[in-house]
Parts: sequence; C-alpha cells; structure tokens
Amino acid sequence: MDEIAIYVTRGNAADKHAQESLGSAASIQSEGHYASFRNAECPINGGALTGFGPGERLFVASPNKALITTYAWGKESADQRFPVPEPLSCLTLAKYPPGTGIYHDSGNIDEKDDELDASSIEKPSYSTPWLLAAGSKSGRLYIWELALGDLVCVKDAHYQEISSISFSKCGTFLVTGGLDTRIHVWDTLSLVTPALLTGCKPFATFSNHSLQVTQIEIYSAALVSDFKVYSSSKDGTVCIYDILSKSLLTTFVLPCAVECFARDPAGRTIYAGLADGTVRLVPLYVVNPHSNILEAVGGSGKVVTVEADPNLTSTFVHHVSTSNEGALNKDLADKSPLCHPTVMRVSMDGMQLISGDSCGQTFVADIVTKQVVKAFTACKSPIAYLSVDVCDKKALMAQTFFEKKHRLLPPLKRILVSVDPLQHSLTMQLSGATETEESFELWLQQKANEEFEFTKASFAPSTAASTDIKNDEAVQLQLKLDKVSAAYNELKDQYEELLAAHEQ
Amino acid sequence: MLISSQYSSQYSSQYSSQSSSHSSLYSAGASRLKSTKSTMSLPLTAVIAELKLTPSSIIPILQALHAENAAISLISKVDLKHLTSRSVGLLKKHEPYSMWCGANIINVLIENSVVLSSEGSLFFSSLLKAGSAPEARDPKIFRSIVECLNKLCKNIRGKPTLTREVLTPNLGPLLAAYLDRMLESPELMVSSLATLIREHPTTSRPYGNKIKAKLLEVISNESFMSFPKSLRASVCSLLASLTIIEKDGPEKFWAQDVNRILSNLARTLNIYSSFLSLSEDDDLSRVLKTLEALDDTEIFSGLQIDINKPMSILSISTRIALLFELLKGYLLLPTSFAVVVPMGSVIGILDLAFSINTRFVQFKRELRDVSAKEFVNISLERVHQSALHVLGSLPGQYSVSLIPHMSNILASLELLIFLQKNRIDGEKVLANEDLSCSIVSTTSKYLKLCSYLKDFSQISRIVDLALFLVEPRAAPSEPSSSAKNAASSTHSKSARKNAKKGGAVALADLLAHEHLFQRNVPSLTRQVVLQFLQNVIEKTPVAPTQYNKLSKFIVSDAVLHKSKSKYGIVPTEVNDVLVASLLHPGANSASIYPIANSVTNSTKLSLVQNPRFPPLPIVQRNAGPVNEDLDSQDDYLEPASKKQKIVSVVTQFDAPKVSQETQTTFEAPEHLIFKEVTVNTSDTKDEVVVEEMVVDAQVEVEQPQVEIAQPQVEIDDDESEGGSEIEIPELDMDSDSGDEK
Repeated sequence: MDEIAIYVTRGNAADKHAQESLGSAASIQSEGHYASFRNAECPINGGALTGFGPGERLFVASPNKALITTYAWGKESADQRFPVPEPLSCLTLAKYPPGTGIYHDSGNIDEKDDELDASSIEKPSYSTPWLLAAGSKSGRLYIWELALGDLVCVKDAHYQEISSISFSKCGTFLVTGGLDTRIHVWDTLSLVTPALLTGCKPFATFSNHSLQVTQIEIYSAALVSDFKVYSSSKDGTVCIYDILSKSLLTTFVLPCAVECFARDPAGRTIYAGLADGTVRLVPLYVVNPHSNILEAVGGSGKVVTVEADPNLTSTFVHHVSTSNEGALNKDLADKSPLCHPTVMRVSMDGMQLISGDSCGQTFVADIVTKQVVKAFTACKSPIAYLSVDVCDKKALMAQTFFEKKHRLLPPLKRILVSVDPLQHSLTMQLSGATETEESFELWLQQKANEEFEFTKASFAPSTAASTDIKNDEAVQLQLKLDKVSAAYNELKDQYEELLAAHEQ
Repeated sequence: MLISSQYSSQYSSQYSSQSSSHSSLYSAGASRLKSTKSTMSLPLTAVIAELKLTPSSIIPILQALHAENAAISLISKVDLKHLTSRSVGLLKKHEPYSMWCGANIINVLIENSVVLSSEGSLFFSSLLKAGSAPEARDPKIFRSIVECLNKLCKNIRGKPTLTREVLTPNLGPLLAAYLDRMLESPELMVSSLATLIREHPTTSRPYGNKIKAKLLEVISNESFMSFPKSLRASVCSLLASLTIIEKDGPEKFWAQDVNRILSNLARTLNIYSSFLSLSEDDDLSRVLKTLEALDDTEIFSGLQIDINKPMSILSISTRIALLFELLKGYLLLPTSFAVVVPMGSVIGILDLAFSINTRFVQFKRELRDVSAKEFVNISLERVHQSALHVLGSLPGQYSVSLIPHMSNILASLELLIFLQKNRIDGEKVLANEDLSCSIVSTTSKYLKLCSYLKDFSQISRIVDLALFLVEPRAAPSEPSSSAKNAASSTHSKSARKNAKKGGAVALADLLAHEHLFQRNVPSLTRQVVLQFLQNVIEKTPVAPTQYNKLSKFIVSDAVLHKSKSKYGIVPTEVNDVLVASLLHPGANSASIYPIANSVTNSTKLSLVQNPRFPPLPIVQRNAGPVNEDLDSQDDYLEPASKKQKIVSVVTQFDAPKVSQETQTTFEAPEHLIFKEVTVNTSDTKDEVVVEEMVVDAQVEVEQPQVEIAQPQVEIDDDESEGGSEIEIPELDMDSDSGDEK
C-alpha cells in the first residue's frame, strides 16, 4: 500500500500550448513516482479524479477554453477532449455510492430476494462515476451523466463565477460556492430529473460571506443529520453549516483572506491556507483552561476569532520561507510577493498536511512538528488541483494489462437531454457478484448424505425382510400352482383318453 | 473426530504389514510426510490400500485426501500412480456406488496441482465417459460427475499449457454432453453451461444455436412458470448470456434482444385494451406505441384468448411474467463488455404495467361478463406482482443511475396500493399481502439509493400501508348480518332453537375469546416493514402525525419483543429501527430515549448518553532523547534543523500540565491518554521511544510564554538533581579527607 498525491498545475496564460503544465502522481511517504499527465492544466479546483490505478481517470477543465480533457491512468498524454458549452471554472465527480447490493433469486420457499453484501460485488473493468458536475465562469451549473455523456442539467446557479463545487459522498447533495459570496446546497435528485429541473430551487442558501468564496466542501457522515458544509472566503472567514437544519454553526475569523482549507479526517482541526502564505491550524475541540474539560469550539452560530500566533505554535510557515528559494518559480515569486497555498489535503492518518502553492511548489509537512517532510518537484505555475488517497501498489503496476482493455468514455454532450424519460439510456458494463467457494466441510456433509442414500438399504432390514417373505410366498404359490396345473393336465389327459375309448 | 481417530488406529494396525512390505518403495518424501500428516485423518498409504476395492465409506478417505493435499505431491510416483489409477478404476466400474466414489475421490484429488497436471487429461476423458454410462442416470452419480468436471475446468482455467492441451480439446464434447442432459437435470446443467459460456465464449460459439433452441423449448413449456424460481431465473440468465458468444458486437445483440422483449411486452400489455379503455389515456397510449415500435419480431407464438372462457385471460399475465423474467435475465447479466441499457424504456414498460389498473382505467362498455372482469382483475394483479419483481431487482445493479426516475417510480408504487375512499382497503391489502409486502420492500430498496428524500409526501401512502400491515389483525371475518337474519326468520320455533344452539356452539369461542382467533402478522411482513420504517425515519422528514404513529408502533413492538424474550433481548431489526428513531427525532415529539435505553442495550445509545469528542492530534513528547541531547550537547553545537525540531516538539506541551505530569505521571487527568509507542523517524531511522498524549492545541496558543519556558524548567530540574547528586559525594569526600587528616 502507498499513499499517493496527485497534483495538477494551473498553467500559464503565455504558454499557449501548455508545454510547461503537467499533472503528476507521486507517493507522499516514499520516493515512488507513479504517473505523469503531460500538458494537464486547470483553474483552481478545476480537476476531478475518479480514483487511483488502472481504469481510473483524471478530468481537468481547461483554464481558458471551453474544454474538458480527460487523462487515463497510465497514459501520459491526454486521452479524450470534450468541447463544452462555455469555459469552466471548477469540477467535481459523484461516484456510485456504496450500500446497495445485488439482489438475486435465492429460490427460498418464502420467495423473497436475498441481498448480497455490497462488498461482494465485483468491480467491472470498465466503470465510470455517476455524475460530473461543473461550475462555469458565468455562474452556470452543468451536470453530465457519464454513463452516456448526457448533459442532464444546466442551471443558472450564481450571479458570478462558481469558484468551488462539491458532492456529498452519497451523491445526494451538491454544494456550489461562487464569487458572488453565496453558497447553494442542491438536492441532486431534483437536478438530474428532467421533469423537476425547471422548477428546481436550492435546498439551502447561505450568504454569510462578504467576499468571494474560495473553497467549499461537504463532509458526509453516516447520519444525514450530521452532513456539514465547510466554506472559506477572501473575507478571512471559514464557516461551518449544517445542511438539514440549513443553519450556520460556526464562523472562524482569521487574520487575513483564506485561500483554501483542509479538514482533519476525524474533524478535529481545520487547516486554513492564508493569503500571507501561512497555514493556520484551527482546533475544533479545546480544553477549557478553567474547568480542564474538553469542549467543542463554536456551534449555534458562534463567531470564533482565531487570535494571532506570533510564536508560530499553530502556524505552518513553509510556503512563506521557501517562496523565494525555488529556482524554477523565481519569476512567479517575484511577480506575486506573497506566495500562498492554493490547495490542501490531509493524509489518511491525519498526521501530514499536503499543500500546493501559488509558486508551483507542493509540500508534505508533518502536522506535529510543522516541518516539511517531502517537497515534490517544483512546477512553473501554481498548483490548482490536489488529491490524496491510499491505494494498492500492485494495482498501480498492472498498467500493461489494462492498456489493452482501455475503453473511451462516451462524449460529453453540449445539448440538454430530452425531457422524455423514455429516452434515458446508460452505457455500462454490468457487474456480477464475486464467486464464493463452497467450503469443503459443507461439501463433505452433502457427500455423507448421498453415501447414506446409497447404503441405507442395508440399514433397513425390516423392508428387506418383508421383501424376502414376499418372495418366499411367491415361490411357494408358484410351486402350488405348478402342482395344481400338473394335476389338472393329468386329469385332462385321463379324461381325453376315456372320451376317446368311449367313442371307439 | 472420534470416528476418524478410530479409523486411523484401525488402519494403522491393519495395514502395518502392507506398509512394511512396501517400505522399500517409499521415497524420502513419504517419510517426511509421516511426520507432517495430521493425526485426524487416515495416512495416504491406508487410503491407497483402501481404494484397491470399492471402499465401504469414502468420507474418511475424502477427508484424508483433502487434509493431506499438499503431501500428495511428496509421495512416490508409484504410489501416486496407484492412487490415480485406482480412483479412475472405481469410476470405470459399472456399479453405481463405485462410480460415485470414483468421481468424488477425483474431485478431491484435483485440488493438488501435481495430480492436476499429470492426470488432468485422463480424468477428463474418464469422467466424460462415465457421464454417458447408463449408471450415470442416477442423479447422485451424475451430480458428482458434473461437479467434478466443473471443478476440473475451473482448476485448469487460466493455466496456458493445461488449457491448450487438456481443456480446449475436451470442451466441445463437454458442452455437447451437458446439452444432451439439459432436460434431465436442468438446474445443474443450466448453471454449468452458463459458466462454460461465460468463460469460453469462442469455444461455445458452435453450440449457441442448439442451446438457444433447447432453452426456448424449455421456456415455451406451459409449466415453465411453475418451475422453481431459481431454475427459472437461471434459464433466463443462460438465454441472456448467449449474446456473449456472438462474434461481432455482442452488445448489439444484447440491445436487440432487450428491445425485442420490451416490444413484446408492450404488445402483450396492449391486449388489455380489448377489455379496458386504455386509449383514453393519451400518455399511456403514446408509451405503448413507442415501445411497440422498438422491434417487430415475436419471441413466442400468439396467445389464444376466448372471452367466453375467462380462464384464458390468465394466460396474458403468464406470458407477461415470462417476458419480465427474461428481461430480468438480460438486465442482471454480468457482461464483459459495455452495453447500452435502455433504462428509460425499461422503467417505461414497468410504469405502463402499473398504470393498467382497473381503479384508474374503466372497463369497456362492451364487456359485461362479471367473471371476465374478475379474471382481468386477477390477471392484472399478477402482472403488477411480476413487474414489481423486476423493479425491485434494478437498484442492486444500476444503483444511483435510477435516481432520475425515482419520482416516477415512487408515484407508480403508490398507484398499486389498494384504497377505498382514499383510505387503505384493509381486506384487499391482506388478501394480497405478498403484493403489499413487495410494494413496501421495493420502496425500501429505492430509498436506500439516496441519503435524503426531501419530499415525504411521495411515500406517505406507502408508510400508511406499512403500518397497516403490522397492525394486529382481527379474526378472518365476522358472521354476516344476512346469516343472522336468515336464522331469525326461521318459522319453526324448535328449528330456530336448534339453529341458535348450533350457531351458539359455532360462535361461542369467537365471541367469548376473540383474541384466540386473531391472526398473527407473518414474521416476513414484520421484517420488511421494520426495515422500511428504518429507511423512512433515516432518510425522510416524516410528517408529525405519521411520526407519532411510527414511534408508537416501534416502541410497543420493542417492548413486546423484550417481554417475550427469555433474556429480555430485542431482535436486531427492532433494535436498529429503535436506534434510528432515537437518532432522528420527529419535530415537536417527545424523546423516546428513556424507553429505548431501558429496552435495548445498543452501542449507539451508549454513545448518545456518553458523548465523546474525537481524540485530538497526538502530541509527541520526546522524553528521553530530547533531555539527553539537551544535557549532553551545547545549543550552539546542534545542527539548526535538529534544534528547531526539538524546540517545536517541546513547545507542544501545555506547560503547567506537563510539568505536573512529568513529575507525577500516575495522577494524570482523566481526559489525557498516555501510551507508549515506538516511532521510526524518517530522517535518522533511529528508534525513539515517545509518549503520546492528548492535549489541547488552543491552550498552547494561549500560553506561549510558559511553553517556551518549559524545556528550561526541565533542564533546570535535571541539572539541579544532577548537582545534588554530585554534591553528596563531595560531602563524603570532604569527610573522608577530614578523617585522613
């Protein structure tokens, strides 16, 4: 197993053919490098990844053109390019959620279907995520159903550019944040049902930010009532909202504009990337110094001011200190004096912070010591997309096998899908349940039963005895019959002889 | 255990002479084998000897061969040859029991790779030959032979040389043999053929048409719909899988077949337009026309329906059920290629089947025969049931792709509920309990597709239905008033008396002990409803009135279960729904927490009662090495990075707490967790023992001054202690020197 980070650059407007742009997948724990995606570039939050390993894809929106480019894992150059109605600013994917199983006919007497465990369903060699959602520079929301490339939703969602977009893990909610300072939570069912799309309004709208929203994320939990939206804004705040109650829970006020943020996987801390280049650690639980009791920070609409940290005890400074060191990005650093983080993620164990910045550098920093553990090769343009996940090394190596079976995605359409539900179709490889082997003990038991059936004749003497008795009776009767018929024949012969004698 | 140990002792004594006579034949491997073999099973030597003749019981032999599977490779070639040839010999004997023994022994032997490689071909041909012997007509023997052949194919599959040399040449005869015996033991043959077709589509190609013809013969059989459900499903699945073997574009054939089934279904459903005025519904007619136009070919011969023989109307529903079964076979078939699933049309045809309902569509005026009308109704209910089966099977395969149709599907399901004056029609619901349960369980499956359904009104009726299904049920029927009148109107007094007497005897129990006649809710219905209610509570904002009804039922059911159980335990499904109801309280409703807590003992409830925060980030206190470094090295001698690291580690501490803890580690506050871990530092690769603990980061921010002072405090302590240690010997030295002086 290895924990891998994949990052994509934003590209340079002067570099028209994106010669210096790239995407790269490398290990955050070791020196391993797994994949490169040549000429990959996208606006900030403009990338979306289906997963790591063969069969998976990277989607990037072109920063200046109305184009979505896909990269297949293991193939360096672009795999497919899809022209879209207008230039896009951000992308996100909704995968097929777990929790549904295959129903198969059990043949039981009760005639009900048994449900297989979702984990026993085989992953087909060709699979696509469910939806691809994109926000445009004009504030429109686009959703494609990837199984057939149908454009299922076009919606005027924001007054200005949509800067960030995110699906909940289950795909039930979609949240968009725009430069118009608003955040909309959408009910996906209404967006993808053609009949409901026209009258579809946001499930919830939050307008607590006073400046543009820079990043937005939905953090899902097992209970839908625990779904929360986190947002950051240039106004220097990070807000947490509850989706079902449609309410603002907490506002964290930071010293300067928040460019991006990342949350600890267990929801213990937020890491806010600030415009001054620092990354500020904001705890969500603290010990009350008076009562010595651990307490949650904020809630019920509280505003929590994160105080200045002159001693840098809760601040990562590696983006500030290294901004002028990298030779590659000196020009960039000169142009923008304050190099700031653009995208951030936290590793699976919550111990490492992976962050990319506006100078094209990507670092892995240890959260406890706040020191840089690993620095990836610096790029010539800002890092615009970052994703981190753990996956199997063996699966990553099996690229040659995959190449032969690689299938292209159906092209993304530019015209809204027909309202007629009869027209809806899906291109997909149907999956089956993984084969389970019968245990030897069960098989042996079955064989013991069969053997008993073979040998049971010897265990049922009474039946055998009764058959023997019947046989004996039959033999005796036969003998009797033979005797009687012999006597009859004898008598008949005598009678015939007598008759013949009488006639003479 | 007992039997096998008896056997082992018995055999060891019985065959000791034989084994000693053959001792020269045994290789070193065999002696090694003796030491490794399990005491539970027979030794291989005994097994080989036992196979000389037909064994009295093969169960211990099979156990031994399975247990000693790895050891089979270690025995001498001669013994191996004996083992395999004797097994094949048993199979070749024209005696049922010996053949059965042979097949099963080979089944276990082929688990070993050496045996598989060397004797695979021989086994294959012997098994095929045995399969065609007259003795193999016995289902037990035939099943064993087929099981063994399937296992042989499975074990060889994927191994290039073995596949080329053994499997491929034998596949043709194997397929032909399976095809011949398909009608004799359909379930076994159909599943075996399905595996062969899926794994070897190219080799199976020449047999495609033959298999198809035979399957269609089976399916066209009038009694097919009364076959076991699993057999029906596997026959349909096999028919669908025949598209895999098409050489050019199997996906096209798949799509063509699905369209053909859909159009056939539409045409068959259109027969109801002879009884019902379907044309009045424009939408319905449009969908019918669209679907009928998908394909012109008829799969089956035409139906013969005579209005004067109302029973013949039921053949429509039988045909529709068959077509739905086929459709399900195609839609759930795992494919190795991507197919274009006309999901809209599939949902469309199901919707169509649900919409043809005599509650919404009028009978034609020409149709006056009451029995014909009744049969149309029965037939339609059967159509609804079979359509529900298909609808319920879709979420597993297509998951969230069905979300765009969710509103339509929920509306269609609502149409199926039996209503009378806008209320649940109890009698009909209970008379068609299967259908009602299917409605509830299908809704449940669709609710699982999303985390939240904001419009509760879509399923409100289904919730009513579910609650009705679990209500206590009254006696089947009360004596009708007409019967009472008839009794009272009898003229003769004595006759009336007799009738009263007789009636009283018949009705006495019913009137006095009505509770004895109450019908219980079937456990399956209860389970389906409980699961549905859990989904509803978790995923929808339930209306307050209905929420109260739900809570009432859930609580009373849980209490009832608890009182019935010897140990006072509620079943899992009741527990789950109780917890769901607690975690998703309704608006303005009283909390059921106290009741839930006294009824069940769930981990989730414990978490609600004793909430805990997630453990905070671990702060490492580099106790030993840091202090050593500070003691042994001067600050200016340390490399810059190392110094920074140490400082940053130490500054994590909440100064007052840590100083207290370092001195009195046993009196740690309750919320602090200490444990020792070993960490490999990436830089130095040294093992460092550190102590983990949970502290607050905010406190660190607020008290920077104290924190920075912390290492100094510790160092001072150490130094002062060190100083005192040095002072004592000095004192001693002084006293010693004084003495000397």
